[in-house]
Amino acid sequence: MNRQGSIDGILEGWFLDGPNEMPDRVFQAVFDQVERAPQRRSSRIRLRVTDMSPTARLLFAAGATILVLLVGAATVGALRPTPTAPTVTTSPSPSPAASGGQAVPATLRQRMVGELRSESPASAGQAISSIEFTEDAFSYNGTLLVSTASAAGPGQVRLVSNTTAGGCSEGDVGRYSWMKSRRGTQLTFVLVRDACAARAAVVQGGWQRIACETEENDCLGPLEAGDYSSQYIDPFVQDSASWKPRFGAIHYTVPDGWENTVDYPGSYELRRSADPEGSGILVVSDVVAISASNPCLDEPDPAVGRSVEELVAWLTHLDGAITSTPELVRIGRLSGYRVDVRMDPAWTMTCSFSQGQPTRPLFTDGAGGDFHWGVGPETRERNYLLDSGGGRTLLINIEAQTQAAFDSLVTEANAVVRSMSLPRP
Amino acid sequence: MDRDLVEAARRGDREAYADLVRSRGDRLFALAQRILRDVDRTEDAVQDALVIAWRDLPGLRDPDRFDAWLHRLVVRSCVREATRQRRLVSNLHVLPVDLAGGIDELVSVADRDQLERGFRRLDPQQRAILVLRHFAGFETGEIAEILGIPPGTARSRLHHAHRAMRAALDADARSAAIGGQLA
Repeated sequence: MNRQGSIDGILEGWFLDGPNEMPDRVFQAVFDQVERAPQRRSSRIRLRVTDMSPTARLLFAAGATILVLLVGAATVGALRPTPTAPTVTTSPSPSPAASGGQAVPATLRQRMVGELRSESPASAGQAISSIEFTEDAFSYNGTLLVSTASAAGPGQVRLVSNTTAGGCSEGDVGRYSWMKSRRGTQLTFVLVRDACAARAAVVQGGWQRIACETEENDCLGPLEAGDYSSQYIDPFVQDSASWKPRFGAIHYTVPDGWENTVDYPGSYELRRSADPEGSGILVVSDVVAISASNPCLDEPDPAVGRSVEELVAWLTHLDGAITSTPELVRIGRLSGYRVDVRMDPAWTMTCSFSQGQPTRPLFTDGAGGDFHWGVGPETRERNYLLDSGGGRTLLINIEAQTQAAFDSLVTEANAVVRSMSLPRP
Repeated sequence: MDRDLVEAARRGDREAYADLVRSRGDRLFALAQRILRDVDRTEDAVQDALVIAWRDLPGLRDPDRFDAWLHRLVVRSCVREATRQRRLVSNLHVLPVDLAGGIDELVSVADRDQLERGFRRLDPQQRAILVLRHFAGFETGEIAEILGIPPGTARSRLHHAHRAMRAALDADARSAAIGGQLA
């Protein structure tokens, strides 16, 4: 190459090579996000803030804090999901009632989770953040920053440290304003003052309520319309041994009437509260084709690759399954295909779990779990098979047990799926 | 008229914004791909920039500067993405190739490899300014507006980017020569 000549011409020639069209999936991903993204109207907000009442200012600050929280990054660490909420250590200090304080409002008496407050010494070695209030106590991640808690006037709570675990000195006093969303699924704390910096770094900001109704799970439970983050699922988990919680790995928007029913290392479920069993959205971190020789067992088929392309090719030629033409999609930062699936009416195979009904098993869990997924005679499925890196596939499945139930669900569920911001591996 | 679309989009009209994106998406995508040299990361960068543009559009004072502003957002997004990418691949060893002598074509296959490696050695800001100039064809004043810097600074950065590219190509040629001797 003659670099003594014009590098301008060389670069101009070289730059001619390359794609010149933006893929449709990127346009669609942008339009999907724009559809649910509000615009910033900062100058008007600034004007309004100067005229706000103290309460309105608090609401504004809290709303901004929620926004910041909900776009926060996922965190890693060593905290595993617990089947039951950690117990707040009983304070050796006098209770609020005994010391003349008012009990913590009922709205706050619950466990809440949020992104890891990495700036707090209390978060060292932790993976995500959780706080819990009882009538008279507060704790962070179970046993840290344990404090006596009491109401301190309308919309405020007072905390007095009674341990040094987590970085406070005993007797440190803090005061926070709080506000809740319409139905209390999200709470925001705003620091008024706190002698303990470690606690201040933890408490303030947004939190999601834990109200899981699924036994032995730690999910969010009923949701109100809004944006939420997953806590535990890692969309790229390879095996249970290497798993760590990844708060916010899936961030999504739901309308009223939905609930989060499962949040495990390799799966996440959302469903409409009023829908019958078997309807909803399921995200599975790593799916593989079910065994051809033992399709009723949770065994993968070693002859089928686990990449998106290989799984889609396999699925669309699978005996017993009728599929739609695969369509290119992009959900969050992951690309792949959308394929609708139903069972061929001529298919007669049964499994022990199908109660005598024909079933066409489809997928199992590549991460060594017990996930087993298929279609029955009336089942209707929409599968988003997405490239999760390393030749592996993430499945987002919309399913209902009848055509009518699917028709009722699919538009709303599609919007939820489209709202998901999945990270890149 | 685009000014009308921009003003409508500023007021929250999503359809107007979609029209603006449709008419500019290909060009922005092509520009970003030349900076990042990776289609997946280009998709991420352009998607992020276009969503940020929607979100921040009410803050754009002059609708006539929409295109320069949008280019700026895309370039910034590319720089962020490239910076992240450099951290991920910083330990990759670049294998030298044996350059054929006497290449007359402007950009042969071997040249392309060499240009690719040389370009990837530049920092993201330098890549961006070269692409704005030699792919998008912007004049220095336009580049200055896009990058939000004075024209003199743009000229200086462009000059340094050219020098850096030449140096990167020279370094690559030396690697190739050493590799050839060792082989």
